[in-house]
Amino acid sequence: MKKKLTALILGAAMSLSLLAGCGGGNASKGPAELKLQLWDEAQLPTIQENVDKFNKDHEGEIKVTVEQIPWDTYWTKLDASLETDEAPDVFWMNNYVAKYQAAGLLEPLDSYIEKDSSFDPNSYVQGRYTFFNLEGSQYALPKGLDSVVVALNTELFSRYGVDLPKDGWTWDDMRDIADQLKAAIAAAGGSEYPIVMELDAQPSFMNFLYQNGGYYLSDDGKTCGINEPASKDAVQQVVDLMVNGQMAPYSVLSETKGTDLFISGQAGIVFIGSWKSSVLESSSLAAAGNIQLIQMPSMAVDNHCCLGGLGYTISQRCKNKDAAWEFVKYITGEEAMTHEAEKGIDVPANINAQSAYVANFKNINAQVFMDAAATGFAYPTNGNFDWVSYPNDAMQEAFGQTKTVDEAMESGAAQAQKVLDELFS
Amino acid sequence: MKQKSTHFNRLKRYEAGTAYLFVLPMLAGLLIFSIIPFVQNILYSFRKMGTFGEGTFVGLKNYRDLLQDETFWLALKNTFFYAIVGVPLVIILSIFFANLLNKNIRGRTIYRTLLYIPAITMPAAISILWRWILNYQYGIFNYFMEKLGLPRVSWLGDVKFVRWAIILVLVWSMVSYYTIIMLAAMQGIDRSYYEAARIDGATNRQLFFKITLPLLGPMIFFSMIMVTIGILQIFDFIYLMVDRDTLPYTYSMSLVTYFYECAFNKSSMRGYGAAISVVLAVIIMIITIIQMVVKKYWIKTEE
Repeated sequence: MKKKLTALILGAAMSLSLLAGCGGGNASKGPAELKLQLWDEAQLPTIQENVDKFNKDHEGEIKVTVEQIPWDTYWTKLDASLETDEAPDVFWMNNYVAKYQAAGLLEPLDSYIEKDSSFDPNSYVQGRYTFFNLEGSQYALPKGLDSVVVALNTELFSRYGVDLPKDGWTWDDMRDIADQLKAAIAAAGGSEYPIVMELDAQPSFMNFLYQNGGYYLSDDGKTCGINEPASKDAVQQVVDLMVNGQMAPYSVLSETKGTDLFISGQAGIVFIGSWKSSVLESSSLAAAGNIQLIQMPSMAVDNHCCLGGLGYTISQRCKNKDAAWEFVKYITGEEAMTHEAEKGIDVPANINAQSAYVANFKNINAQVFMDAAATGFAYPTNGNFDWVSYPNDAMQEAFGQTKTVDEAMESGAAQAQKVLDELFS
Repeated sequence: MKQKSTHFNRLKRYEAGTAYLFVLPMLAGLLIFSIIPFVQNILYSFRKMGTFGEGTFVGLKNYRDLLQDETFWLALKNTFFYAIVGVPLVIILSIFFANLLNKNIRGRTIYRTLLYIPAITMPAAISILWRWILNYQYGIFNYFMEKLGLPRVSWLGDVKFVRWAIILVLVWSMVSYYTIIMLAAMQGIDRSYYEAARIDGATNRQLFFKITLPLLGPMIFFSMIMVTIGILQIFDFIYLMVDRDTLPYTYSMSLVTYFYECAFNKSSMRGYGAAISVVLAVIIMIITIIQMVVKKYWIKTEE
């Protein structure tokens, strides 16, 4: 009997300890604890410094801890955690904001904004501030902004004896330059590519569609426009670059990122986002003074870039919302953003911190990113992402030339429209 | 006599109870992490599930949609391609290497250790290593191809080659484990068979085909089942070696990769993803049953 009892206790203890592993959390009194979740490893050290400063200023009142989750699993983990007590209190948010707002998982910030006399909405770039305003309520404060420009490898241009393009250039100019580069590279037996780009939407086709007069998503968010003639033409122009050897072939670009090819000296021209600025700055190419930034070339309409950017949101489940507001206000405020700007990790959406950003770069002229942002348009989104894989896959099919541009855009738009129609019916 | 047996039964019951208590923690783990999710997954496959909440019941809609989904068929085709090319390669190569190691050669232990290294290396490390080896621009593989006068190939970027690149890495990583298994089985074969055959004047070739191979039967069978299941569930190498959101990713997609994309990356397709995984489970079950049935006809044991 004794043996049985021992076994019972042992067994119970073991299964208990198994369960205890899942629990955790304590209810002891002390500073209000906040968990911040973000995805960018490169920005983590600087943000940690800002958090440390904030924690020091609020010693004994608020304590913020940072958790970094890689981009590939960030949203998966966030979705899974938001329904549990493991949810982060404050987290990075981008174009997905409407999805989380619709699910009622984000805390509206209006009441805090009203109460707080020290807060000034006008200190942010308005395009980014209003981006997080949904159905009349503010759901995030903007951290930074992403703009897209073109980087040139000046050493490669001079080595092959081709003149650098100037602001105000067009796609015709670009094709002309690429042809010259291509001929010179071939004559010298080189292996470089005239033009490269990244295949993701934001640094590539999302700009081209609009610059050529087409669109990805209509302003009311109900129609996918990649099958518009102007959209098709924009995509066709990119495909032609690849076909004519003016741009690196798809198989190369899908394996090695355009930016990596560029900074290793394998390309003359790259379409590049401001989020890569520190990668450019720290490259040996830039250190040798061989990178020049320039605005994108114009297509049929203009050369305006698609503007993205992050914000800080507060979870509906957060238990210390006042503390979270204090933190979000600080981390997007002048002091913290100036520190980020000095480190050059993000183009600040806080206007007061912007000058610190440009001054920070020794090897590239970061003002070009600011100028691009001034005329940029907001990333087209309606908060639903069930349909976006269709146009995006269609772009890959077209660029990879497994389908003609016409076939790919028509079928991509039709599939996307089916989802959109169901959504808004 | 009667009394003794009751006592024995009581003892047996008592011991069984204790045993159950000791397996309880393990059982709890199995239940929480395997059995409950398995059942829940089947239930999910009949629902339309969003990112949040439990979704709505849609009956067999997910399964009907699967039949008309081009990407699903592509993923199914790819998965079978990996299995049909991969399984024979893994089995043949592992028998080949095991047979080499089974000979009395110098430094046998060193070779054995070297061959086993891929099996204990993490898939993530293997993937990163091979990404570099196969890289179009900088990879050593293409460097040698060029030296041999062959054109460079973008193994992981070109839709025509990406599946072969996956097979290459898959086979490379699996052969090492099964070589050790085969070697163990070979060393378990009684030496006297070989001695007797030698006295009768059998050649090395005959020794291998008439003795080694037939007696490896049960182990080959076991390995075939395990390799088939392993390959049908392939996910990690594809996910880690090919950039997502590009064409090669779609063209090398396996059922598990597609399941992952639906269940975790498309917010309204969780139920659909669940349906894919149920289909995969059924396929694996059918193939295993077929193998079990076929086994009876071609496996010889030592007895």
